Amino acid sequence: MSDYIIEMLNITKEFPGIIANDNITLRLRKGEIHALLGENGAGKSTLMSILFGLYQADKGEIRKNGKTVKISNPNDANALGIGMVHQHFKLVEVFTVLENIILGVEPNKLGFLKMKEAREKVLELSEKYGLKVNPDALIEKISVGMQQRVEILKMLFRDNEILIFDEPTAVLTPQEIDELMDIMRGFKNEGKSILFITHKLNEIMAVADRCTVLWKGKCVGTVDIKDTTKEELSRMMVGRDVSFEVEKKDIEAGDVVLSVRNLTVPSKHHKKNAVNNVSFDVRAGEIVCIAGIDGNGQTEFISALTGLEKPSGGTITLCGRNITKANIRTRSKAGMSHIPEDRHKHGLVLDYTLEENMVLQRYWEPEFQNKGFIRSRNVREYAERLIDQYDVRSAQGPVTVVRSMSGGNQQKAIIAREIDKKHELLVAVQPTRGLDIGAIEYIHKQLVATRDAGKAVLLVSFELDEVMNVSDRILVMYEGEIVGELDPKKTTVQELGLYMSGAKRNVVKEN
Amino acid sequence: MRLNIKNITKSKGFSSFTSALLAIGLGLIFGFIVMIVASPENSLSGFQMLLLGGLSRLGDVFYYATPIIMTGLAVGFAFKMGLFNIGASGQYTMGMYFALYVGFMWKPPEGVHWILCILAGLAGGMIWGFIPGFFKALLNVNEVITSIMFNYIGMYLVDMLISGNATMYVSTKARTAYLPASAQIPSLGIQNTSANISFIIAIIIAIILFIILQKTIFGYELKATGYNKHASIYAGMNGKRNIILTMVIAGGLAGLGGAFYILAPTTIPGSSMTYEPINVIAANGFNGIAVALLGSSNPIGIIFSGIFISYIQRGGTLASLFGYKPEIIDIVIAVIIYFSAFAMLMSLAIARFFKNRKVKHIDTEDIAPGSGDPVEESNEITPESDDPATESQVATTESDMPVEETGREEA
Repeated sequence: MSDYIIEMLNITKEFPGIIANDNITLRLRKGEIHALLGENGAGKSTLMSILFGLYQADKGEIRKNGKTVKISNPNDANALGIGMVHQHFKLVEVFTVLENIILGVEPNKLGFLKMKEAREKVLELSEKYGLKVNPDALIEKISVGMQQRVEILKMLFRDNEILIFDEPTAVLTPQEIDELMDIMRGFKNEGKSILFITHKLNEIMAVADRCTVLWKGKCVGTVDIKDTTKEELSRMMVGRDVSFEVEKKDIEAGDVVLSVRNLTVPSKHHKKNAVNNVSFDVRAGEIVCIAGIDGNGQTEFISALTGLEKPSGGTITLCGRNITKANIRTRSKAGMSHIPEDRHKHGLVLDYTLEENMVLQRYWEPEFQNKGFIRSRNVREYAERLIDQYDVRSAQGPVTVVRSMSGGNQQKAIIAREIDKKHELLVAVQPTRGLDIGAIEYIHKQLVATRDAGKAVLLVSFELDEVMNVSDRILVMYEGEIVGELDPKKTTVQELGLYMSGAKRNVVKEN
Repeated sequence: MRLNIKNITKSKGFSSFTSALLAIGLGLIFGFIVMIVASPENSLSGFQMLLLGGLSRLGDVFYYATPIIMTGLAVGFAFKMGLFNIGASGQYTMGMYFALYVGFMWKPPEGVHWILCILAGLAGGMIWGFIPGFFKALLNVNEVITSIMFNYIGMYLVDMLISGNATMYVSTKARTAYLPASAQIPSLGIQNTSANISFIIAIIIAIILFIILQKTIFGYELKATGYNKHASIYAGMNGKRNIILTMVIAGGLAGLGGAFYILAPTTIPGSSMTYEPINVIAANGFNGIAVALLGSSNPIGIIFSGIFISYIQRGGTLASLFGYKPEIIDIVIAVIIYFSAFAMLMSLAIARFFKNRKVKHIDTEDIAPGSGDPVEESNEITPESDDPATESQVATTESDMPVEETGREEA
């Protein structure tokens, strides 16, 4: 009898042109939380996809309880008790929670659904593990955190005992992350084994027992968490030392670049205003961060600021010019750059090439068009310069289809485009979401460089570390209002948390 | 790097071409089976005629290809922007009516008459494309619904207008009168056919559309909107204007198709093509969907797919000489077109086949595992296809046209 519930031995998986997994061995003990750490592109997802039956390994074997098994599709994995919560959830939006949970394993009698039985089992499971959900709520109506619980319940409903979490915290708020950690500990106590893919070191330190680190398709090693430090893990992960602190010199803030007065935006979900009477200024040479828990009106505020939606009241002034009613192109010309929250939805045309995406905000300028015809040589040269300058990596350079690029490099492309464009104000919404440490470090540097160049930066972030490290001034948004203005040097994460949860507020000074 | 790029484009074009051929081949085999079932003794000679008959009627092939190339372009061009222009039939009929009207009712100088007729057809189609585009852009009314309804409105309207016009309509024969020779498009000079220079005009238009899509900022905006509407809004593109413009252009293309069809010269002196107001929606509009699908919405591809479908239809008509009922021939043609529509799926299958072979050829030692780039890529491969379901998604997006459209065409 083996100590290990799952062993992946000497797994090698090649894709055309690359070795995604090179002779990787991963052993999962029963009842442990095992973290799988690595940068984007290190091969974590490929390895887990092999375990879950989405890919076949070219070499190597998988054993469960010491016996070699063959997993050729997710159904095989399921039969072996392996379940997976994907980074991008696989839920039917217009179905209820309950319908989604039973999807594929519907309890039935002669083809008729036995919903009552299913409901009882789901309620029992959610009770047992503290996964509170409303089984009758529609998926499209519940928050991302709730949706994740549904994914977890799906695994439990199938009686899985090996649970794979693929970057589960990327989409969660700090509170939700804490709850998830508790849930994971609960699973561990119940004897379930967890594989936890992440690149967030804090989470690993908080919850994992052991950690296997991958680097560029190879296994760097497996360490016990109690014998290691964050610094050591990060060194293993990126192959060099990483600074967690953002280096920033003090500079004087200059003139007011952006001035928002009494901005009010109606909500699409309820009758109240999503953004209520918000006023503040952003000056040249400062990074102002709007902190807050996701869903407190940040998205609506940014939509109104950038012109994606219309505010119902208030004014927006950019460089002395009233742009409240201006369209997006006018705002862009007036000096606004926007790194959008959802890079796939707004930021990129994924089926366009890298060069075509690089000019997405500027293709109409005389530099890139002549009488309506694209000046392709200029586009190519411009794209090549940005790629070079911002170190955007891709397989085929300017002609790479953006869809095939890694998330970090897609984000770099957007940042290159928005920073290189002539601008006075950079609006960056969650610019580091879902990225690895190396990319985050890079993006933070770029934000600071933009500020040092005398531009105004408005950052929206849910990551407390980012809020504290990058910003010069923090505005906390709670239920559509600015409830506090804080100086990151004089405040603590705890105090910030109080403002974010609405427990505390101070009056924002009017300039 | 440059060489590399060339190789890739080459292999892409190669695979989509071979896949189209493969799909057509499969379609032919199934068509043959249908013919065997219908009438075994005639199947061989009938099938031979279906395949090769078009060669003996090349003029007709070109003539009948012209309107479906145009409606194919009307569908394909709109689709590049993500609009499903199911209204090509109505736009086509309107184009036909406008062309006829100018042909009968205006008496301009000899040399320019047919040109004016063509322009009138263009205008008629544009109007019929504008309306769904307008509703889509300003009121967000689904263009599929409006354009389908406008097929009916256009058809009934034209039938009514024509049968109520004594100059145009010959009630004893239940069709329009013969157009004056000055309104007919100059012939291509192929004997015994209606082939005319509009075939060449259609090809030129397709090439112009190709250039618009590839080389202009209008094409850039159009495709960006088709690929990702949200990103096009984010980039400040004027979506409303582009929707209307695209639908107007698409309508104009289909309208031209109608004009090209009806203004054709005939083989018998003193006669002309005629329109019969019999309350039937023009099939050439729907054939345009098949043409666009087979040509994967690429203007150049549409030239070839239009000619191919016309060719197989001519062969089919000749095959009925071997005792096949016209319905059977229609079924065979439909089967061939239907299978041809799988070309995109085939393309995926072929791509996968070559990929797998390539993997085997890769020498492990050729790749330096330390180099950042390739590994960076690996992660993306994973999320893109980390679910069997995504694969089929890829298939739908790649195949450019939703399956429902094909279904509708059959119905």
